Amino acid sequence: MKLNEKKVVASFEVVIMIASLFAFSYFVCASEDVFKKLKEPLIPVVSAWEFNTTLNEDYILTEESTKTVFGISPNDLGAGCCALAIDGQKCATATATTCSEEAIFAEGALCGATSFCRKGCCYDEGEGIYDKNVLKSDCPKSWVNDPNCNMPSAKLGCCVLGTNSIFETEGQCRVDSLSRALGASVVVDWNGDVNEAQCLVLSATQIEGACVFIRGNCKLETEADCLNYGGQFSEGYLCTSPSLDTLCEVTEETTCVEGKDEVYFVDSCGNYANVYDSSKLKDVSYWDRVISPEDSCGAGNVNNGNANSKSCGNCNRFLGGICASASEENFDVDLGGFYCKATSCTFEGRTYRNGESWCVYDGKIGDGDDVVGSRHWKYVCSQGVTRIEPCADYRNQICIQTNTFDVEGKDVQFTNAVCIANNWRECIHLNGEEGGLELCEETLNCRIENVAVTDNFNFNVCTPKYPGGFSFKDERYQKTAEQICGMADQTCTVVYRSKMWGGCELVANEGCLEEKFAQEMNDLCRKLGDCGGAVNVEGVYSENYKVGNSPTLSSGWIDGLKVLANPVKGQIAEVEDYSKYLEAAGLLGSPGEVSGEIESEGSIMKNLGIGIAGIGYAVGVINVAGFVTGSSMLSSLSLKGMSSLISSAPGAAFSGVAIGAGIGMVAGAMLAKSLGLSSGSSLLMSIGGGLIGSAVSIKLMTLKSLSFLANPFIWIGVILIIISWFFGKSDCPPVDVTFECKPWQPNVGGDDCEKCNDNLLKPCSSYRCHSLGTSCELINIGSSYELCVDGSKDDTKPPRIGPQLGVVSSNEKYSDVSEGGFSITSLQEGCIDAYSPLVFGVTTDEPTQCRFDLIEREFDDMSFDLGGNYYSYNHTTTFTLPDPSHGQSQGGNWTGDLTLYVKCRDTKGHENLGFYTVDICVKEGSDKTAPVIREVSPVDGKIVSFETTSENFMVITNELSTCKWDSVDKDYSLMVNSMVCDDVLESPSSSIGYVCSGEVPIVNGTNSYYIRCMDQPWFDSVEERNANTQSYVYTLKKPEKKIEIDWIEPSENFEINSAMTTIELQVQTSGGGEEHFCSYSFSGYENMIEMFETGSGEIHVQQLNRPSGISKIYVECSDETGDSIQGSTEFKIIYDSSTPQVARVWQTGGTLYILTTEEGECVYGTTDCNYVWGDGVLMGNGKTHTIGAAAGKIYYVKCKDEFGNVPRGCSIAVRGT
Amino acid sequence: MDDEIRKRAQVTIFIILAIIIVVAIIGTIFFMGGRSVDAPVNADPSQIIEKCVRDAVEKSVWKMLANGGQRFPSQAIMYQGSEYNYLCYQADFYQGCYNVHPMLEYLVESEIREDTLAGVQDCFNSMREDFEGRGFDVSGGSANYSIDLLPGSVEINLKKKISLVRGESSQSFEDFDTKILSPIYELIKIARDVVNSESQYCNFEYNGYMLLYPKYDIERIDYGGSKIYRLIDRRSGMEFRFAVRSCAFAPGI
Repeated sequence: MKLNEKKVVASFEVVIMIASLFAFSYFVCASEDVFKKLKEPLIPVVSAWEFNTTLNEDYILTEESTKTVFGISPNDLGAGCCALAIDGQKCATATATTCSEEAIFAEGALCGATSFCRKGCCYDEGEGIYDKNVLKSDCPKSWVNDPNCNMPSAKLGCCVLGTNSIFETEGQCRVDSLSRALGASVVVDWNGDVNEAQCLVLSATQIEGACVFIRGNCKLETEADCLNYGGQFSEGYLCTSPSLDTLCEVTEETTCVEGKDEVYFVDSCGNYANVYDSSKLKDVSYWDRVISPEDSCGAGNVNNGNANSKSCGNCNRFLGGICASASEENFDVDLGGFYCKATSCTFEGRTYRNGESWCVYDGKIGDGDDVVGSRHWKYVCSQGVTRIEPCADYRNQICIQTNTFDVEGKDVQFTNAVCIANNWRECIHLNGEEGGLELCEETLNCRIENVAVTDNFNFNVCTPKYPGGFSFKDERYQKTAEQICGMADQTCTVVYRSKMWGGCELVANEGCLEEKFAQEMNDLCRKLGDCGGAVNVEGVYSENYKVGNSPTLSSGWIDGLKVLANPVKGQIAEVEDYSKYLEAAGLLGSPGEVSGEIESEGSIMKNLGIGIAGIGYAVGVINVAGFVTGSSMLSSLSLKGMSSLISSAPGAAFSGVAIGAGIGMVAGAMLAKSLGLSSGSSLLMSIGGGLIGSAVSIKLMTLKSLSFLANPFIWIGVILIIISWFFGKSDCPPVDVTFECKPWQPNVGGDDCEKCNDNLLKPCSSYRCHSLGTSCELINIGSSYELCVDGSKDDTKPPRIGPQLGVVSSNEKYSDVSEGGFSITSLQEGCIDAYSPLVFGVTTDEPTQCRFDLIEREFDDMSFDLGGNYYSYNHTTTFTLPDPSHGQSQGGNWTGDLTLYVKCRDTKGHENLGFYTVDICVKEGSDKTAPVIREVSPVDGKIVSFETTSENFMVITNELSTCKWDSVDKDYSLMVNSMVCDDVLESPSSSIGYVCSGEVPIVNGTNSYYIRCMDQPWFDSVEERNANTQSYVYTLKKPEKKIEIDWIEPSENFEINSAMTTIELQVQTSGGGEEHFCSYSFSGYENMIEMFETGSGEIHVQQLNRPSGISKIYVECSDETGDSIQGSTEFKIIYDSSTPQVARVWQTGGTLYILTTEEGECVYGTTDCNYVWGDGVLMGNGKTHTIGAAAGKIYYVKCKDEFGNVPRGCSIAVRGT
Repeated sequence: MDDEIRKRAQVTIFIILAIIIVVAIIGTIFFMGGRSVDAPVNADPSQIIEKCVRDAVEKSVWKMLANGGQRFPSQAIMYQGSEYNYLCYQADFYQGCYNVHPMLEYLVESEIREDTLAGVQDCFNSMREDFEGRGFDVSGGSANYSIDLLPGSVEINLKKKISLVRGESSQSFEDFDTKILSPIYELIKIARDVVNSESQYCNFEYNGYMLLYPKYDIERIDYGGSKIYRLIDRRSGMEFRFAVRSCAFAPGI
């Protein structure tokens, strides 16, 4: 080679190398989408729940659960506590307008936190009456600020009245004793050291005997009563005893005796004698002395307590018999008019003893399978009659049952059922709590529902074991039902990729294309409450879900759901551990009693939105996992492709040839890309290009006159390129498989309504009735003739539709209103602006369900609900119409004119004739409007955690945009921090609009950020786009210090005068955010219960009923930033029941002095010790007390300590000298 | 002459006898003083009044039992055609109720009194008409009337001065106290237990209560978010009806 030739070749090589730099740069650039894809989740985030949450939370916060019968919640604007509402309700949540003019109204306050609605104890010490939870204004007697009446004198004890006993206060015992006083002196026999059951035994052990009076009269009495009567007492003798020679004679008559189970003979004086035994009528010895029932006839009959015996009256109500009138029960008895009536009951072939109770269900229960319209029932055997107690409707209570009782360490067979609060709301709430899923299974009545469709579409949700029911007719509850059911709205993205030689293949979530998707999602849906495809109590299925791009439930699966309406024999609700709840509510030791406070519904409501987000979070986590798997797969695939590309490059010793081949490959790849060929075809075309490139290089390098076309590389390359044309790239977009879970609605019509009236053992209710058909109505409510009937029986007309006047966006109006529809135009009767929220609605002349679509379709096939999935007169919807030019710019066939086809269906299934149309036109032309920032999350001004150093945030714009932020206000182009805006046109990830996200640094105090956005990101030129000229100023605040607990009270030991006391737990917090919430527990930080007066101030108060002894209370306080702090207090409640003792008594002149061992108050009476404290004459306070004494007179003194402890009798009786 | 003398002597004796008889009769009347000798045998107004008042009170007691302790239920729920008066009420959901009728005994006593006041007056009015129809002048003072609920009975304390006068004779009555047998006192005590428990625990364990006290039958129905209670005294069949709305649940969230 000549030198000049070498120079030329060298120069050419340099040029080629430089050119190749650009060529490979382009190659990399062209491959950018591949890299970009590596960064994207393989399955897009399932739903935009974060934003739904924002919306829902706003709504839900105004729909506080303590909503009143006025339909007003404490969080409603202007709502508060009203002392007396216009309809007469006291201390109800109301508004100023529903509160009586003269009544006190505390706006924004909960009634329990107001002084005028404070509950206390209303009592009359003299009468021994203590009424709990009374308003001071309602109390005609004394009132004390203790709702639970923890006072020594309120203590219940056993009052013995002859042969009877009553468990009551000492004051009541005094009244009862006075009322049956027979002689001059009244004996008050009251014992506060026995329980109720022991008290009954006490009465049974009273020894009786014949009390004989002059002239031979006789009464069977206790000794004490006999002495009061002035009779001669003969213990253990009957008045018919021959030895007593009374006027009383044997008779054939019998009777029931108060407080006793048995039937007794009666003598001619009216006294009862021994247990009725027809064989003993003529047995003189049987009429001589008192014989106990244990030694009487049939005492060994433990099977039925002598029930239905004609001859023996030794009844036992626990074993099966109790004294009853034979004539009333049409029973033929040997003697007298009474017998042992059977007290057991038979239900479904099983015998239950008197007092036993059991649960009955409408279908399968638990595992979220309770059917719509069902409730739990408690049946009780009450002296031979089976009583029905329905548990609270809408499954707000569940029936639990135990079959044994622990009696002194022995298990006794006794079936006992209880209707107890269903904790279903807490399960929904847990999904929004951090770590809520971990707590789910430990939480009462909650369970984990695992949705496992594919490896990637696999997540857990906390659902109730016994889902709550929703009112079908009340729009207020249907709206919240939409929110709850909406938790199961899900999208499973099925990912495809194109095959090497054309066509598509599944990459992820293939299972979502099968029926299993609908099955799993519907199970989740119906287990949240009355949602989705589910059956009612009659086993009638109604479909209230939608599946997109995947099969719906098969008839076989639906048949499986219908079986749920059949009760499962032997199934009873699981008895769970209620002790934590009972203890927290101060009720431990009161089985069967559950405080409503454990239903801390307010907090549930506040967090429902978060709950919804929680599932979103859960599913999001799953999808992140999916992303990792998928991306690594894609990554390896891409690298493999790359390496194959590289390795397929022809190896050539001659670098120029190699470079030529490289350029040829790049050119081939570029051409393949521009032609949209498959990866295999691209490879062929790249190789072909490379071969042609190398041929060109050879020609140039050698500069030989070798015919270019003679080089075989040329022909091979051309052939490969031609072949590659036959393998065009397939378009393999992902498929979104969607599930929409709607509130359950019954099937149209009312054919099944009457079925609700058929079962007398399960009386109908509104909920049950409404579940049977859309036109079912409960009539004659409150009367004896409540019936579930078809309320629209005579309805044969289709609904008529009209525009919902007054409900339209402020910039639009209804035009061209006719029978068949209307148009929505701007106020100037032109087209409406794109991307502005359009609100409109229709009304119907009867309750209907409305839907609409963009094309004419059958009602059931229509895509959109107009209003909710429930029957109503008014149907409103809101949506945003896009700019037609945006779609057109993307090659879409978007038009500015569209027609919405509306259909409404009434409860009888009648639909409006034809279609009701709503015509809308959107302004067309190039977009000259900058995007609008509709919402920012977290909300502007939010206080963030003290620990936070940076915060993620999101901006929602009305149109597809790119956004930036900066710490100083500047032009969009100058802002340095770009946000991530991954949404694509027509697929906003929020229902409000398109989302961009970013992260901002946080420092102490107020942090301000400036946000601007620019629309139409598909344009390369910024001149064609519109940017905000004014920044959205966004602030986040960080507290100066973290939330702290300053103090907790009580913190020291204190004395009380009763076994229980009402304490006021007070917690003071400081620092942190603006709203502090505290909760408490007695068992640790796992089972916290929100304090009643919390959230608004920094002092948090909770009244608690506590027993004496050591109390340790755990407290946890948090603020709205999520920061929390824990604390505890421990103190001892000392029960002081001692009364002041008299240490010394002396008299000086006419003054009697009494010195007591402790400070207190003394009074005296002059008759006996049986006087009420208030009737005594005051002797003064302190330790020394005086009486102006008269000689020979006795003074009965009582002394009371500072806790109110008074002796039952006298402290001392002193005679004056 | 002698015959004439004898005749005159006879006439004189007859006249003297007649005078003696008349004087004796007048003397008898005189010595009997204010005693209502002219009153009919069965004219004791006490029995009439007491029976009449007992009937009125008995009717009123039934009314109180049916209406939860009031003549006209102040706040009630309709169930099976009957009004059930609320003794404990909470308008808001999930909160324990307020005892709206504390010291129920006093309320019932006062309600019975108010309810029967007119009836008691009618008793006196009809008695007055009855006696006036028989020729008596009837006058009366102001009445002092009260009701006491006691174990097993309702005590009626009625004091009113009544004077019956006919001619010169008159008779006075004042004490018309009486009583009727009724388990209302006991039933109200049970109602207190129910209300105290419902307001504190949102529940009353009636099943166990019936086992301990078999003479009472307690029925509870959950109806429309309220609880309907029927406390029945098995022996008399009398039942005390009332309602409670405590810790009510919402039909959804």
